[in-house]
Amino acid sequence: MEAQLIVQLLLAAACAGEPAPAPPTADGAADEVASRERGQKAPEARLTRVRLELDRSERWAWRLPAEADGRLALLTDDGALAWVKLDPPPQWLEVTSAPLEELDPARLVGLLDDECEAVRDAGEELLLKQGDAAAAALGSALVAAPARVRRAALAVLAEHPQKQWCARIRERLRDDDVGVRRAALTAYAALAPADLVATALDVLRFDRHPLLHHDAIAVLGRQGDLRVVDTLLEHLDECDDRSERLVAFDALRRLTGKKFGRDAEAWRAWWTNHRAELLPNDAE
Amino acid sequence: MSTPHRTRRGNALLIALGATTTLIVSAGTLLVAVTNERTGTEQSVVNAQARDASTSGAEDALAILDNNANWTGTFQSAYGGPLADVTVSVWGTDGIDNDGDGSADESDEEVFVSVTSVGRVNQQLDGSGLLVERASRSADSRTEVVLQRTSLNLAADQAIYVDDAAATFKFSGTAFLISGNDTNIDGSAGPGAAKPGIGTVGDPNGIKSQLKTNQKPKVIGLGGPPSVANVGDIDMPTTIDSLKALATIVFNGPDDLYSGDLGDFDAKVAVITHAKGNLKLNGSSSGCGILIVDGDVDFNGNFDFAGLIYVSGAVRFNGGGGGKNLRGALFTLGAVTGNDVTINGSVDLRYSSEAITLVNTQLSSGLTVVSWKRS
Repeated sequence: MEAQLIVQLLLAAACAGEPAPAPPTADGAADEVASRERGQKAPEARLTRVRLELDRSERWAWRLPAEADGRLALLTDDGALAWVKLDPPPQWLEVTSAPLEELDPARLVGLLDDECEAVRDAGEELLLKQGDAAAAALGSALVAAPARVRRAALAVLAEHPQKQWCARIRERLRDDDVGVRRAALTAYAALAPADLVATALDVLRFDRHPLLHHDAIAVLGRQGDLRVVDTLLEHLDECDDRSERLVAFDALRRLTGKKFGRDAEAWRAWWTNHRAELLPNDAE
Repeated sequence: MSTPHRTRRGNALLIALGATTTLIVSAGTLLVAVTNERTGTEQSVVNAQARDASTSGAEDALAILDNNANWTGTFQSAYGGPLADVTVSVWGTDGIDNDGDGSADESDEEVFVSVTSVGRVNQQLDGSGLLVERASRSADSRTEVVLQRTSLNLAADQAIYVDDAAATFKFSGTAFLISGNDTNIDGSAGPGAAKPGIGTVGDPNGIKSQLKTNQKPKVIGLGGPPSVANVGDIDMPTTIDSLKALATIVFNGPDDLYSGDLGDFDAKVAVITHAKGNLKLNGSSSGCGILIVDGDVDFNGNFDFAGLIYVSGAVRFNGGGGGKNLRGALFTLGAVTGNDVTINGSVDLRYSSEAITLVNTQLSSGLTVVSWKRS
């Protein structure tokens, strides 16, 4: 409880805050991978539309990329999910295609809680293809009751960051579901907020789940802020989890540009000798 | 009639004549001895120069082989006046029954390399290597070295090895295939048993859960689909460190772009490539052998590779730009959130025992001297 409060306080007003001063970085340690993948506009996508006879009436429907038990999922224009058998092949009255953006993202969000996994996956896939337009409609999904809906929404937002949902994403860092918290950290990192390093450090300190530690370390390794090296070395002292140690060594490599592999002592010795040089304004 | 005086004069003359003769003989003997000694010394020097030249030529060849264990050919080195003609050949391709077992160039000769260095002083050869002129003081010396290749003995138990079971994957769409089913380089079925498509150390469910329903059939092999399994821990840093030293193509980083060949995919000629930083392979690239990347690797264009790929950072097969085809195995530390292994577009990654055998056969971890003979 106390830990949550601290996290809450530290996170307060982070998204709207002033940009943090540029962190010190080692030569060649800058990592542009995350930023390179942010803000890419989704290419125009089209989806097949079919006209068919359902319940003795003709309807238009979107053909979803979802099949299960020999059936194909359709999303009718009146918002219902329909299934048609694939054998024998369905007899469409008409087949055409339309830009995916014409499909209401709210209806796709509704698919995220379907009982069929293939439909849920199709909903997420189409939301990803819709890009920013879909991401703007994900606010309700971020606070939806089923964890899988929240996870899927955060996965879309990790690909198509929307600053308007920054606060809600940040709240999800305290979600009860581990998967949601992991997805939230990824989505939050994609937003590149000013307090990302501080947030990741808090997750590392206060979240108890090793997977969150793992992901927080990975985020820290990609921010180019050498001030976190102390924390990473301390974590290596205390942690026996294989994945956490691997990601910590990788983070050190990315931050410093040095290659001491998985030799914690070598990293510590090098940092001891170079800390003052690399962080001249940062007292130990 | 002789007188005593005349007799004494005669004796003296005889003595003088004898002494002179003795002196002349002695001087002649001494002169011959000195001359012979000098001749011998000069010849010794020439012989020593020839031996030194042949030894130096052999050592130069070993230095070349130290950098590139697959090097063969001839060269001539000059060491002041003396010369060395050096030939490096592989027993397996020289057309000679080197081991005297009645057959030439059989498989057990492939692991041996022969270095022949002939040192010459004051000898002139024609274009065919025949001796056409030699000075009064000349010599030659032959050094023959036999080396044995130490095989790499690399293995793979899956198509993709992910060292970090908590790694984050990004599988996009369904235009990819990760197969642990043994596949030859030409795409035909290989002889080996099926392996997992993806292998990791620890719980494989973290990776499985990142596959969508329609993506699970795209990871095939042992136990699949999706074929994701717990496999034995591989000491990747040690393996990578030992291979780096053998690289013949090196990108010094920290960020390199490349488009072209890394070995010869079509002719199946393997090389070891080492990128010391991040590497982006753009355009049309192909290769054969071992690719080691200390940082992240991006496969952006068309890419065909037979062999083993070791990556210390993130692996991204990005969509567009043509297909990406790997026959062999991919090893990644895969330790970063965000997109450790991004698989997007047309990507075909298949375990291939043929490719791994090719790498182990063509590339060696070094050469060991097994005999050194000088004559």
